[in-house]
Amino acid sequence: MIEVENIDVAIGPVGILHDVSLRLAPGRLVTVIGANGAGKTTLLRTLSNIVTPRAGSIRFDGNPTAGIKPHLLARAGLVHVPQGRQIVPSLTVRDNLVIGADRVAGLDADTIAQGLEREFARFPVLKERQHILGGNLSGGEQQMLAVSRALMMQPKVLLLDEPSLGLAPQVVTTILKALRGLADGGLSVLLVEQLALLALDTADEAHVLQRGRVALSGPAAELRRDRAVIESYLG
Amino acid sequence: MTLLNFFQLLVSGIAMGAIYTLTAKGLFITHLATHRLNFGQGDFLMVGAFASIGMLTAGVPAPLAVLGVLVLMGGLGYLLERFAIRPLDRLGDRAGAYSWVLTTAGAALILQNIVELGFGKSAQYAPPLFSKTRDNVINILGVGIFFEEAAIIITAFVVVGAFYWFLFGSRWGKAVYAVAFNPEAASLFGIDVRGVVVLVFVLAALMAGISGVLVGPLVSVHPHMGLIFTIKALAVAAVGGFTNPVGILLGGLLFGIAEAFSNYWDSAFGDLYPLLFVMALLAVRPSGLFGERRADVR
Amino acid sequence: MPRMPRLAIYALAAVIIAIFPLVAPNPFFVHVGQTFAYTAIAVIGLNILLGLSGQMSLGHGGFYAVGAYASAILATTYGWPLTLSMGVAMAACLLAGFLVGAVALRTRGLYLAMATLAFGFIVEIVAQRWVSVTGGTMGLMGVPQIDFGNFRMGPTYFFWFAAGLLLLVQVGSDYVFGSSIGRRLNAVKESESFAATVGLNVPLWRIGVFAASAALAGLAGVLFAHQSGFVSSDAFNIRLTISLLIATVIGGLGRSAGPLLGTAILIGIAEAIAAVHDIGLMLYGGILLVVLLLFPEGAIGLFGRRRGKSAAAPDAVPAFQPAIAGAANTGVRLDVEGVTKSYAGVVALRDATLSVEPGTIHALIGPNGAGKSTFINVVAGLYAPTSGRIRIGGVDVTDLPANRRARLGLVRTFQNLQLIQSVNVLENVMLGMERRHGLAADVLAFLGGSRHEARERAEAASILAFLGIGELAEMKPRDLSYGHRKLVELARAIAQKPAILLLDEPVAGVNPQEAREVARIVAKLRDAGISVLLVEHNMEFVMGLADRVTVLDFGNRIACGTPAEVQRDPNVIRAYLGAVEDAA
Repeated sequence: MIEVENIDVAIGPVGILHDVSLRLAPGRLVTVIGANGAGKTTLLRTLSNIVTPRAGSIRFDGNPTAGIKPHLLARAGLVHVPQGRQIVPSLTVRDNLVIGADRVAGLDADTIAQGLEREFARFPVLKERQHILGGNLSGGEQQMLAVSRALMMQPKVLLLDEPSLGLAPQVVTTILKALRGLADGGLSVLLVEQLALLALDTADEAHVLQRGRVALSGPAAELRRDRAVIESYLG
Repeated sequence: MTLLNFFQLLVSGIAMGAIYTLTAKGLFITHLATHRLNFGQGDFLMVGAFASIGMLTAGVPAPLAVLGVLVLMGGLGYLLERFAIRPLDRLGDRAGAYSWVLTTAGAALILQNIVELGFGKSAQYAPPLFSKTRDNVINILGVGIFFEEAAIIITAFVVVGAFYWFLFGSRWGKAVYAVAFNPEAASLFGIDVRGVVVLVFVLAALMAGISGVLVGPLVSVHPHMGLIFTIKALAVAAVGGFTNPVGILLGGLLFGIAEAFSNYWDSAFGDLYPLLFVMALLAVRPSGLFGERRADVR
Repeated sequence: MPRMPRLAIYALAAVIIAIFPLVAPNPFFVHVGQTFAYTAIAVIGLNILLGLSGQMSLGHGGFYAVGAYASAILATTYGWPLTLSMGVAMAACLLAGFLVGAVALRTRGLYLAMATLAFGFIVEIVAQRWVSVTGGTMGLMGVPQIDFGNFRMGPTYFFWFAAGLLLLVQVGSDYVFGSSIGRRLNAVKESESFAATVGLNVPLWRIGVFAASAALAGLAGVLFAHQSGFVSSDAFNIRLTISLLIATVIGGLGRSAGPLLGTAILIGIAEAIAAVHDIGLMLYGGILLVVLLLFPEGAIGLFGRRRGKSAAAPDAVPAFQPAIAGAANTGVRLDVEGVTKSYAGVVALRDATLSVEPGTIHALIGPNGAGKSTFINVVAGLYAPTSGRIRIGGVDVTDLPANRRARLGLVRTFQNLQLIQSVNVLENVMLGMERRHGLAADVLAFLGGSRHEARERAEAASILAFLGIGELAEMKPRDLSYGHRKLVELARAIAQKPAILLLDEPVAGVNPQEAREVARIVAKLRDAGISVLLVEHNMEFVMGLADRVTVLDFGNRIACGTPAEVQRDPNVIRAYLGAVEDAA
């Protein structure tokens, strides 16, 4: 679904990513792990075309994405759940859920209603709180809302930027389980995480980013046993 | 002051207050979405007033004239965004932080001049919009009020209602809030951020245009009237802290009513007192009466 | 090339001023010269306000009017001597500037633009309608002119007087732009939190520069009133303010010579527009748009960027001794006791306790969102803690604002760089320094030419050399690599003579070689007795440098100890990697 080939990314004078390549096949859950500042968030922002790579190419569903505006990529099914959830605080949970789906071509009211039912079943707490303002949710509820908002857009690929950020371990487990289920159902998921061991337990494949380069790649289960992963974090 | 006077002043105050509210709503929504606004908002109002006068006196039926004004104002709003706001984004940090104040003010000067060339510099009066004659008085609960004023108040409230529906009920209003919260994140939800920015500037121009149509029958209209309306609309928006739409509604009505009464007490300087009051208020309570307080640290 | 001392340039200007009215072909030229002189004074004030301090005013016509009316009324209706009426008029403008500027103290730019717009409008309306005092549109006639009692030579004397004042104001402006004052105003403009951390009382600077600018507009108004001998409210509408703004923008914002050029162009335009009066407003509006959108640097920008002050850079750079830099305040400890910070009910930091022992490096680490940024902002004084105490060398500073803490030797760097983009690297470093001698002495040194701020420059250069980036002194921050910018910020912090240094991610985005260099420097600073609190993600850097490490997660302290202890701590491994079972 996504093919990244040898991209170089810089923000201003600062080189962030160097010669990064990865592939995301349909129905796979791939994780990119690495310490703070390794370039994980920039990788996702590049995939969404918020940042333009200096070199290299990105393909989504076989087509190059260069020059396509971020909102059009999102409508086409490349949906990015940004870091920190970005729930609009002054809109209700329900409005937050619908805000993206409303803009995807061909989604009629029935499809959206079905989508709401589906997401309320996935995270029942959202149904309970659907009329509450997004800003009044807890961090965990916000993360569930962010995932559901993305799923409402009927994505082909889901990009997640540190869904565990600031969440208690139990909530993280709930969310990662939901992601695993989505991948098993055929969705392609790219999970950027700092909590490496949890991410490795969930994913099929993994890449370790270190200072903007892919330092290690392989099946998640293999990397799970590799001491080098821990060393890349704590020196 | 007789009771009758009191009610007539109240109604006049509400009529002007409703117009200030409409104009201020335009400032509010652009500020909400972009942290910028049109320092020529009053001049847009002036253009709306003249366009309406021009068409009405040329014999265009009122509904068609209003439609014409809306089309014209929408176009002006788009042009303002396209040529006075958007280019500043491309300049990045070469543009000063408040360049938009001066570019929008510059656009306003151009509009003043165009209207001056078309209509002359002297004051004009718009024909009444809703009734045959200017002094058509109706009787409500024993108080005679001008039909025109009553109709203007009702129209203004209908427009404010439509504005609230747009903001809180429509998918575009929700998109505005998403862009206001975080433009980059909004684009990830599939929202066309540039489209929303154009939309709010068009909407602001429409609000100014409708205000202009409505204000024509109430006050004399001249090419340099815009400044006063810009200042008052800014003051009203500031009372609501630029963040609270309901606060702006209340602030606008209070401002209009206070002005009507202070003009009655002091015909020379009465119109300045509400303005001075708002300035003093801002020095004491910078977030306005109804605004939220925000942390100042970036 | 040795530069001409400024004094010589000013003397030349004085000679030109002296000769001009004597050689001018007719009185019209002298009149235009007078108008140029006082208009430029107002524009200089606006240029400092907009260009240096970044504050917007749409009401300078109002201050101009207050000056004109105050002096004209006092001199005409009350028969005061001109010296007195002019002085009182300027004082009135200063006061009005403080009152209107009070809005600037508490709010951001939009409100100031609005308040000044309203002020100018109110002044215009009062002038128009308070006929018994101002004469309204009919005007106030018979205002005494400044002719020093000589009717025939009056215009010449007035020109000398106005142009002489302009020269003084221009010298003042040049000094402001070329000295620590200008650097500090730039700091206030670009980042208030940054300005506070280099020890500036930001509100005072903002309101001060606003009032001074208002007083200059007032002075221009005073001169206007006593030039024409007639003051009417027609002269003070919004177009006056717009004209002054056009002159400021068209000349080039934020450059000391801009106003002179801008005023000259403005007067040229005004003369040209007289012929096409019908489309005058359109031209003004068009000029504003075209200049702001196409030539944001203004006319002076066409002459190229400001030249570097190479002549003033010292030839021989003395070796920098970190021990000397820290000598005044070595051995200061930082204690953070039970600090909690919550925003709107969300706890970002819970009961955090940490002590930096004198002359040691204490690192604060933790995953994203653990509360590190909150912690450093609370310590620096940008956020007030919900509860808990902060002590510097045993003194409780919890209630002191950031700028006062900076003056106690608490110096910080920023995660997202805070360098002043409009001045060069050397001047960014000098921003951290106190002025060495009194204002008068500094002004004299400035006039004298190359020796101005020589010691400060030498010291800043030696700090840059110490960091191995001496050759970057003349460059603008935006032209540097990220790593170099980080080093410049470190240099600025060292120039502040820290007792305690807060380093917020000093090597984020820096290449490994540069990171090792930073580690070497920080170690030297510690050895010189400076206490360091370090927030950083690069573990190699932290573990190799820190004496002690504190780990935060979810706003709580989960570990504290030597680097080796922390690296083995199961809680730390769990916080960072999400699980622990097979980590050992």
